[in-house]
Amino acid sequence: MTETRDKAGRILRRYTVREGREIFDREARAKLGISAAEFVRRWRAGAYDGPEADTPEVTALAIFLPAYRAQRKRPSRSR
Amino acid sequence: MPRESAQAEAAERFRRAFNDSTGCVTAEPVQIIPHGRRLRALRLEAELHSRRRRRFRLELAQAFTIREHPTHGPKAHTVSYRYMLDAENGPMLRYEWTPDLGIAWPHLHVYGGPALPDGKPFDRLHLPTGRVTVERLVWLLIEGFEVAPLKPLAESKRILASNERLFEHFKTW
Repeated sequence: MTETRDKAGRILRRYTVREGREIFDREARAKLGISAAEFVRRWRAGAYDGPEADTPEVTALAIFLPAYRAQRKRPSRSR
Repeated sequence: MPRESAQAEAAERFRRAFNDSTGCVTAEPVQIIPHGRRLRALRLEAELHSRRRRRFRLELAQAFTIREHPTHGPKAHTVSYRYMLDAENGPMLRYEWTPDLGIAWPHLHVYGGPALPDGKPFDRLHLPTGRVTVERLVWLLIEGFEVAPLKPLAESKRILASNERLFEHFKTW
């Protein structure tokens, strides 16, 4: 992670792709008690398709799911 | 301009707008988290204080990719977002658009309302909203929750209105 300041003095923390994966995994374990890989596996299997699935914990992780859309057998609903 | 440079510039413009708009209420660091080859997430966590000394906790996350706009070249394309506002005694609001989950459209969860007819908590409702920009959320914080802006009010309004116009100009839906 590199920390810089922009012209307005705001701190920016830029992570690498590898660190992004680590963040995803760490947060999946903290929020759901499962690895990121297991979260994605369950998502691919439809475990989070129901209207009750969007708990705060799941939606915090769902931010990363667009990166896996090409791997999902069922299409994500765009709108 | 080489394609990669143009894409990086588009990502940087998006980041700057996010920075400028959220900078109206907080100076907390912005995280820029790439995921996979194309996805980037901007995230921010901040404690906010109202003019009446109430405290709030804000979590913002916005994921985007860079796509080719038909007339403007590479531009950031939001693919999901989540804005959560907690009060001192628990969650209050959660705006989200996470189309990869069960509810594909932008919506709002409100905490603390009356129980639903089936006994479920009010926050289980998915209240339709249309797309909610970071700018509109920040204005809600300033005007509705009386969060003290870090900049003069007129300047905050100008920044938010300008970035909102940019969104309106470039949005595809």
